[in-house]
Amino acid sequence: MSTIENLKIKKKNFQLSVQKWEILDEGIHVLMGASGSGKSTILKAMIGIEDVESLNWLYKGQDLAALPVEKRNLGAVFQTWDLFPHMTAFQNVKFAADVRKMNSEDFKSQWNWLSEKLKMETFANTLADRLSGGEKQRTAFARAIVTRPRFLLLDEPFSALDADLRHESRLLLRDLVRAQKIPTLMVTHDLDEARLLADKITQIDEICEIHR
Amino acid sequence: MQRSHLGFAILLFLISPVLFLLFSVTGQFQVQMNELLWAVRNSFFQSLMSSFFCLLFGFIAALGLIKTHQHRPAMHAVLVVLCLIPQFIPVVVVLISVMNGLQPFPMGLPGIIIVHVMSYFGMTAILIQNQAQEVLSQTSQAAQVIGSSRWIYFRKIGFPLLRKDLVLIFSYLTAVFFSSFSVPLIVGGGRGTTLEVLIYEKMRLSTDWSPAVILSLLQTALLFVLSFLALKGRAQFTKKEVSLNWLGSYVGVFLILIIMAAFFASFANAVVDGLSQIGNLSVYGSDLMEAFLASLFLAFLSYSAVMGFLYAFCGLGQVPHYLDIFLNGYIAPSTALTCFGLLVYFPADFYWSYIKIPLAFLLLSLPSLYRLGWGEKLKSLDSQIQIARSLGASQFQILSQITWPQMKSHSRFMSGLVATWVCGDFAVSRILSTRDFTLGLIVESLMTSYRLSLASLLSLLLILASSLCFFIVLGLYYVDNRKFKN
Repeated sequence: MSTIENLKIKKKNFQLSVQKWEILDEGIHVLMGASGSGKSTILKAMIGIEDVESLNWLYKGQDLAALPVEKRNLGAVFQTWDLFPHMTAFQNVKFAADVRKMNSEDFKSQWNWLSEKLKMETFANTLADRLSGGEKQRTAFARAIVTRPRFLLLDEPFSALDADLRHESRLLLRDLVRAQKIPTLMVTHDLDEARLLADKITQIDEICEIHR
Repeated sequence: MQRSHLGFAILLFLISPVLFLLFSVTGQFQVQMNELLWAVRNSFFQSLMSSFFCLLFGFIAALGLIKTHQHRPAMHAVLVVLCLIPQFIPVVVVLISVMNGLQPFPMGLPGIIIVHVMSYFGMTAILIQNQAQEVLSQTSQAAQVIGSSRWIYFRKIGFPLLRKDLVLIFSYLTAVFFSSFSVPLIVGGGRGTTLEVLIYEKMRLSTDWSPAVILSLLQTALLFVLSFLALKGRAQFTKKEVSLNWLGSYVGVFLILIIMAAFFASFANAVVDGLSQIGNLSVYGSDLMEAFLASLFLAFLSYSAVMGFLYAFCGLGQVPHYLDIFLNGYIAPSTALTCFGLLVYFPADFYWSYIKIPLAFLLLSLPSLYRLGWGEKLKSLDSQIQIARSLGASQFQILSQITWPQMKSHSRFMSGLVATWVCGDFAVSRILSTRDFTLGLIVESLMTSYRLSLASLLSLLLILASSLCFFIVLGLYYVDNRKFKN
């Protein structure tokens, strides 16, 4: 287990606090709650891109929250995927490998495995701007996973896909993180999604106090 | 350099002229109240009246743009280009055309207002059309189906919905006209002295610069107030591609065509008059070619300065909130104050003009460039930057691989705009240089010595230099975009 402690976020009309919350350090842990309940804010705080008053994230004896964003070694996929539009799908994935100084042999084998699993060969050299929704999402997953981050954080990554593609993508994600053994935290408001993917489900109001 | 330090350094740089003035000039900080009140009154009068007439003509012209927007796209494109021409050509060309067209020309405040309206009515029309398209699209179809007439719709729905936007455009124009310098300098005359011109005169005619410092700071404070008024709360609407054709009117089309036809005819007439005096240009000898090259060189230096600065700005990644507010609020930096600050800081030697003029343009144009879409584009990369940071990318990796590749062509275009403005400038150069070494300065000297025809002839060279800059930059912009697309 990894533990979130003492998370406090104060905004203009919104205060959020989490005293203690234990997160699975293997499999998929889903954080559920209605829209606007603060799920994404908690996720962003864990990534390090949300201003927090205080936060401890204890993982294998280390406080990840004390590290700068770039040293936390996390993978993240948001609802909007946020690919770099001037790069191809391959370059997007390679960028992550480069900034983490991944060994080229290691990258090659990871890329081969990922591109096969995610069926990326056909669009690997296409600019991200021109990819379809499903292709963008697969590229975003590959970019987040390629360096085998210590944690994968997902913020409603399926919500912009149509129903057929969504189901297929959920199964793909489940296989991927199981195969790579990357502990994953996903936020969603979709109960079906949570039931399909989760090894554990936490409702946000079980762990979090919000004052507006 | 850390992001927070870089953001602060950028802010310091932008306000550096104020700081130079505050810390460099000492003495009796006294101003004559009569003189001050008179200049402030003139500044407010000309800026408010210019804004009012701009809005009036702009609104009528906007009806023409609306009329042609969806059903006559080719005509619409031509009208938009015509509307933008007075904004992109050197201001001296607008001055020549208007002064030649209206004779005797009403020097003083009326003259300032006429030139301002000529320069800005087209841009105002485009702003109004864009806002109308955004704000009225949701209600116009419903009103049309119900059977409302155009007039009733405008009176009961259109105007109330657009009122806030019209007030914002009015406030924005007022801030811009309040700090206008080049137009009052030429056509203000003795009766139309504005605060900007008064600062300039204090500085030029007296060795005691302390009154100019006080005036400059007062001017900046007033501009900040006007700028923030212009930014206060704007309603958000969802943009829909709905035809507003029934709200438009061909009266607007005719207005644009008539004004611009008169503008071109007047300028052409001035040039033809100038041709009869072409022999008089021989007194300039090789000076003209040198001035042409000096103008282009200054444009190149300014282009490089702006590109360099925008590159450094991209290093910020996510723009700090305070800097965003400052750049959005600082609508129109005072030309006199900025140039005055640089005069205080840099040596008076002529060759320093090549440093001072590009620097002045950098300081004066950055807030405009930021608001012209450059800032929005940078902010749109925020989520990509966050992802890159979470992946472990350093500040330099984010700059060189994520932000700059996506901002480069946009930055190039913006820097090119500044270069084009520099080519046609005379006002900034007049304050910062001791010699008439650019085409703009020579043309301005001819105008102020009432040799309008000769000035018109030389302004063709000015247009040539500006066009050269513009097309080179446009070419580079397209090359960049092609690379991106391929």
